[in-house]
Amino acid sequence: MQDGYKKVFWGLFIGTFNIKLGIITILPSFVGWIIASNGFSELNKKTLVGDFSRAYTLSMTLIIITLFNSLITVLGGSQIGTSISLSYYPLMIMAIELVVFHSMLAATIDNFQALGLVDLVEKYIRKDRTYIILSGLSMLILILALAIIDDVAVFLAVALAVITRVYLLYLISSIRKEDYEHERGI
Amino acid sequence: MTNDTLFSSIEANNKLFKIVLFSIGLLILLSFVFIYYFKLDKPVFVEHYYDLRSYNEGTYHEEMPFILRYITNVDDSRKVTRIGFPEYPEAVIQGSEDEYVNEMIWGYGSTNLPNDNYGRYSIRTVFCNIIDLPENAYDDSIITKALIGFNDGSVMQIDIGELHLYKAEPGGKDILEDYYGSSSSDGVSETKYNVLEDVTFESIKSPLYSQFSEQVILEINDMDIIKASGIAFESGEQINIKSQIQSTGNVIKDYRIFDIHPKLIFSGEKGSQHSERIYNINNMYNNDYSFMNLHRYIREREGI
Repeated sequence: MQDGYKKVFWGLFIGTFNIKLGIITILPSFVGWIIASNGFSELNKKTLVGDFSRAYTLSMTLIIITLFNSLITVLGGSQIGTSISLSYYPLMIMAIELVVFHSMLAATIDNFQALGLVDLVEKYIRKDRTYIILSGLSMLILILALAIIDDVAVFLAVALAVITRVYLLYLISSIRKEDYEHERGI
Repeated sequence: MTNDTLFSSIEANNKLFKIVLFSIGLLILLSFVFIYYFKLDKPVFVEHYYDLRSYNEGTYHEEMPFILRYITNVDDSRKVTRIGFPEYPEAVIQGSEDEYVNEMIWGYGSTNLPNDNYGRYSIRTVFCNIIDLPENAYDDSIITKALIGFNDGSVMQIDIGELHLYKAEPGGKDILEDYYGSSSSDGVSETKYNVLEDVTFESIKSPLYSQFSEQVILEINDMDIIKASGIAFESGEQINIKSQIQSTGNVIKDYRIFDIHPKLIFSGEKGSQHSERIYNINNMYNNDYSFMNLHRYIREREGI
């Protein structure tokens, strides 16, 4: 199971911190999602009762969407960027991500419950709740920032989005450690 | 925690998740409605009332810079690049939104422009300069329409207000000598003069001043300019012309931009008449803009 979570972690990491050299992005977003969906597929194979299939399906969708977006950015240029509907693209991605990772967390919690690890179940229920709230808040502020293009709102939106992402990465890495400890019989 | 409590906690999370997704979806829809409601079909140019001084000697014409201000959607990426006067089709006018152009023409730093985003609206300033006009246009003409060209090829004809062109009076005998001028961002301007011979202030003469007397407090040595008629000044005294812009509470009036050069008429010894123009009545850099006020202004202008 560990391997699955490891792939999800690194996939999300690459998806967030696109490594760029000037104009050329060495590892664009969609590569991150390829790795992450690979991770979900593994998790689904080795899972006890938790259902990772929704996370898997939606992360595949994200591969296609982010790939499409990368192509448009490279080929389309600045005119497309100012269209109102396209500025809502990050919001759409964030919403799909929320579904992916909440469903991953729910499946993880189901597994812990089946193993009788009550402490872990409680712990991750709380963390799942925190993640949902953080994600919801950052989407809310982003909607406001898109409606009223004010420097403060945009700054807050970006800050909150980054915080949510970092929290999620921390969450996944922490699950990976639990899994590791569990498999080692601790 | 029992299995049941755990299960209900998991269910609670799932419910929260669904509520969040639904709310975000609803908010996105609401924000689309919001954006659509406030969207402008085309830019709205404010009303401009200027006295523009022309000076020419032979074939040399002094430049005549002025600004045009307009309100547009915050996501409008166009810029104004061309200006024309339908009333004088042969006129040549430069127009640019680039601030560097403005500094070259006006000479002083044009910081403190209210160009900014206010909610869904954006305030833009176009720096214009009349390069060439037909001869008859230089004196006593009023320009009320302009043709505006944007960098994407779109064009619109608008009423810009009133540009009063006047020929600079030939330098006569100086009765006043200005030695100090100042203006501040809160709308107060002062110009101080030394009086060179005994004069009596008679009146203020300006086709535009009466339209703005509600907004402009004009004082000569702390007396209201209208009430000061008949006051005498001796040679050696000082005159302080102070102007102050105040808001009327009516956005249609407050958002007019003006730069007026009224003539102060003095009578000197033996009944001779002198006039002195004052140049410190303008509100081009005032910033009273806010999202709600702009919306109110646009609704009243468009007559919705």
